[in-house]
Amino acid sequence: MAYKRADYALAPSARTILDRYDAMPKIQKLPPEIANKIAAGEVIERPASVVKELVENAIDAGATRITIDLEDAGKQLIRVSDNGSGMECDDLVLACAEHATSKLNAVDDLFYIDTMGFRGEALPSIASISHVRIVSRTTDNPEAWEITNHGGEQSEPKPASGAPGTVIEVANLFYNTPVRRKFLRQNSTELGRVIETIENIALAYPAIGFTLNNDHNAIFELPQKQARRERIVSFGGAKLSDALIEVNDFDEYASLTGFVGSPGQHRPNSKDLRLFVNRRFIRDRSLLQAVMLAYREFIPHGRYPVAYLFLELDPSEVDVNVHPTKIEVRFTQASRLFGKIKAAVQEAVLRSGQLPRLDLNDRRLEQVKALAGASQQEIHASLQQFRAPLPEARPGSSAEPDLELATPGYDRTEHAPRLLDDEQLASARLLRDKVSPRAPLPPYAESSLQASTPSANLFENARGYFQIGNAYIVVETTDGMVLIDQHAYHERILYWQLEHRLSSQPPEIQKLLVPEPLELTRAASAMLGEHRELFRQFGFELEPFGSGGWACYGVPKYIRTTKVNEFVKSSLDELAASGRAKNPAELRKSMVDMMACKAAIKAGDPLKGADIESLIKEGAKVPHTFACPHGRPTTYKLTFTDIEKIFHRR
Amino acid sequence: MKIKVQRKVFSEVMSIVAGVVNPRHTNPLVQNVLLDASKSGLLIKATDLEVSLQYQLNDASVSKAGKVLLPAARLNGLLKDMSAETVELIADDESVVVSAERGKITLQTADVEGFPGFPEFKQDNALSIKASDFAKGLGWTGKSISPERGRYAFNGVLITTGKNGIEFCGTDGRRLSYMKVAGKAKTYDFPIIIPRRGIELFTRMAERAPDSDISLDIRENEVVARAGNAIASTALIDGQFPDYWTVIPRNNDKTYVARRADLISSLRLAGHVTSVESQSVAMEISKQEITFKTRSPGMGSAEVKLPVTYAGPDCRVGFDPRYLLDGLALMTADDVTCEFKDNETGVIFHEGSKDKAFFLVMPLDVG
Ligand SMILES: Nc1ncnc2c1ncn2[C@@H]1O[C@H](COP(=O)(O)OP(=O)(O)OP(=O)(O)O)[C@@H](O)[C@H]1O
Ligand SMILES: [Mg+2]
Repeated sequence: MAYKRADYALAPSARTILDRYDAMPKIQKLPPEIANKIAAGEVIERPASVVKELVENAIDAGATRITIDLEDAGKQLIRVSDNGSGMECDDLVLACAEHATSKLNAVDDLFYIDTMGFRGEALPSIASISHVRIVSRTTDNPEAWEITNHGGEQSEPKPASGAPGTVIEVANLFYNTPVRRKFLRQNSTELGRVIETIENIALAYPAIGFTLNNDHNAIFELPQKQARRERIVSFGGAKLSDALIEVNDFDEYASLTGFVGSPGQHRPNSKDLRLFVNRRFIRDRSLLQAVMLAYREFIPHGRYPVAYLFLELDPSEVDVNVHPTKIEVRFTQASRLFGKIKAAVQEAVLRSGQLPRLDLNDRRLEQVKALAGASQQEIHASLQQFRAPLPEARPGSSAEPDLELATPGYDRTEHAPRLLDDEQLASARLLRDKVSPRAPLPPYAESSLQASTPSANLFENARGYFQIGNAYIVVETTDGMVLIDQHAYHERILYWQLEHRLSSQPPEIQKLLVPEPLELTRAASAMLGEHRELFRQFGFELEPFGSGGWACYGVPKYIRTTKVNEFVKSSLDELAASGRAKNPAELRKSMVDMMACKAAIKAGDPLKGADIESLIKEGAKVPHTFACPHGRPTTYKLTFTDIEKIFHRR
Repeated sequence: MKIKVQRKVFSEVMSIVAGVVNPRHTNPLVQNVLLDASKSGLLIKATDLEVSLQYQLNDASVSKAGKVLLPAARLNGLLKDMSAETVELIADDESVVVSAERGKITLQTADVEGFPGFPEFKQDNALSIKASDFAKGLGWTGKSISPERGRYAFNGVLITTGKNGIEFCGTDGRRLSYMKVAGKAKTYDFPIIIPRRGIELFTRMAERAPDSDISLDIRENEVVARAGNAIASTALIDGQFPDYWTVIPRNNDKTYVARRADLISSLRLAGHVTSVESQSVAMEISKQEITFKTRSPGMGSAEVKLPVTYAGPDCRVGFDPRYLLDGLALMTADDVTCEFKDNETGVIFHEGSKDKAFFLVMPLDVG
């Protein structure tokens, strides 16, 4: 019976109705031994809780269209109408009885819950604090039956007219519990909660049509038989559509499907990070954490990704009977799920290789502009900084600059800005004179990039590139252009290379002629004792020196640093700040982080054509270059469509 | 001011001046060169406040004395582009007319007021050696220093007095070069550390007057040098230079001799298969043969063999081939001697006499 829900998900809704219709057992009072095992508690706190229970009942009844009408945001009236199985008169009478459900038969069923409801508690608790009216008709019954229940006082059933299905009205919520009524918020807040509740159900059941009205105004109307993606876009907006990455991961334990946002999509809170287990919206810190971790390198710290993830597992693997509102569940193999989600999401994001794109219809464009202004200052600042100590350039010299990656292509000693010598000045003058001022300048250096890197990369269609503001690179591509932040981009490359190279081979260690004593505090020295091996893994050969001190005997070759002291110190600071809580793998990661940042090309570093080309080439080897290790974007894409929009050609 | 000068010499001096002046200096005044014409000829002065140059051009005919400040880079470029034998400079209150043959260029002058003062060369000679030797010492050792214009000992060349000679030493902590040349010195002034800018300027000055003696006048944090018609000065680095005699390995018990050209070509060849991940060349020494090996994951490997005179035990040392190539390129002899011990100890290369000059390369440990 594994994948029962999954079957539903794939099957047309008609099948669901049939299943339900034929198999729906009659409502029975639960025997005390079962009733006592059910997580008890008040579930009705506000209109949204009522809506949740009623809509879930409608879904359990196999409805394909559900309409929710509110008055006064539900404070006056909540009406949920469905086209589900309906109830026979005998059942209707029991619907509001305590511990009466058609969904559980034996204690063991509690460990195999494949319906939204199972407690037989929702309707009685709603009825005890409001005026309930239920009109219900089964398909093969010519007429409907109606009951009312006011605070537990139930009327005799009487015939009524109505279409097949059920209409439940809940009026005067909390009429007999004034304190709870007082706790209700203003209408907009309560309505917001209702909307969120319905959203979370509607996302899980894209085939079911939902209509929500408040005070006779339509809030939304979702058509039936939507695909999941359409449903997500219905809520998230059309802009999200392009930015959704599909996740598909099946194994014998669980199936994980759904969509996650591309790295360009991130939010200030976790609202758009939603997890569903067997089509039930749940909150689970650990699984959310798995998603967050998967995105760690792609979006800025403190921001949240967009994710709509649907887990389907055998109901026996999930315990829903933990919390009365069923918002929390327990898994038999929580850590397995954690790993699964993290890996699947990460893989999907990497595979998509989506570049963040400028959203031209968006206020963010303004922000981008503002940002551009800010970084202009930054550029200026770093330019100033850069100018101060100019490394003297001697072509062919192997002299080592202060701190930089020893990538042959980026040998900064070769392209450090230097005063033009006289010959260069002369030839520049010659050139200037030849090119008449009106003649268009060649727009960019023609690229000789190979278009056929085995791993399909973003730049396989690069046609040309140039640097602007000594900080950014513009790449012309077949479908528009890509803007690269040279520092963030290089940092991402280094980050990957470091991880890659350190795992594939031990680092080369350059022995020092004179050991460099480290100026460390006592605490830092002690800390170093603990983490010496970690430093060794990164190519720092540190040995005890003098009494209680340390000295550096060798430095990593792949990163050129003459400021060993500074580097080790700031690493230790970092470790002290986070070290105790981190496991070795994470420590390593933060070291990699730091090294990549320190060694990357800075904003303000002028790059020659060859440097840019090798940067892009190196980038092509890295599987995911669209965000730096801190999650800031490294690249922005502007398609011709976007450009046409800018110039109102569209 | 009104003078006539030989364009070629003037131009040569101005190209040294252009190396002194920093056209982006925060003080715009020092982007200029000072031309001071008097009975004794034309005195050319420039500085970037770290280094300074005063050059006396004797074969200038001064018909009217005077001082002007002209943009150094512009004047230098101008002289380069002229072809005449002589140029004439005539100044009025605001500008100077530079004319030669067909060309006549008027340059605005800056106010001489506020142009910094220049150090005087005093007669008490701290050191006196042949200018060509001086240039050789700086050239040999300047290659090994750390590249930035910093204030640390590794950013400059150390000059000191040794047993019957003047010693030059430069290191960046990973390699070291040493040279000793003949000369006289007053020991109490030494050692001094000359920064990169100073090395360059002193070298160019010495190269202009190779046969003359160079003499130094060492002050608190500055050194003034005189050679031929030039007086140059540089700030000194006030850093702790490593005591190189204690760090240079004394008991490198193994040696081989190889042809310099062969060494260079072998290293170049093996260097083709180095990458960021693996920059090292492993030097494997066995009987009568060394093998240079490189290996880069995902790229390939190289193995280059070279016959040498060696009879000792097998040994293997790794290092950065560029360090070696830098050193070998500065040597002149046909044969090079290599002294080594193990993979922990620095390897020494010299051209026969270690006393005169050598360079040392620290090993690169592969994990
Ligand atoms: N819209 C509906 N259509 C058909 N039957 C319904 C509908 N709503 C409720 N029922 C019937 O009434 C019973 C009681 O509903 P109630 O919501 O109180 O309990 P439950 O859904 O079984 O469990 P839970 O308390 O967990 O929701 C259900 O078991 C179901 O048989
Ligand atoms: Mg229910």
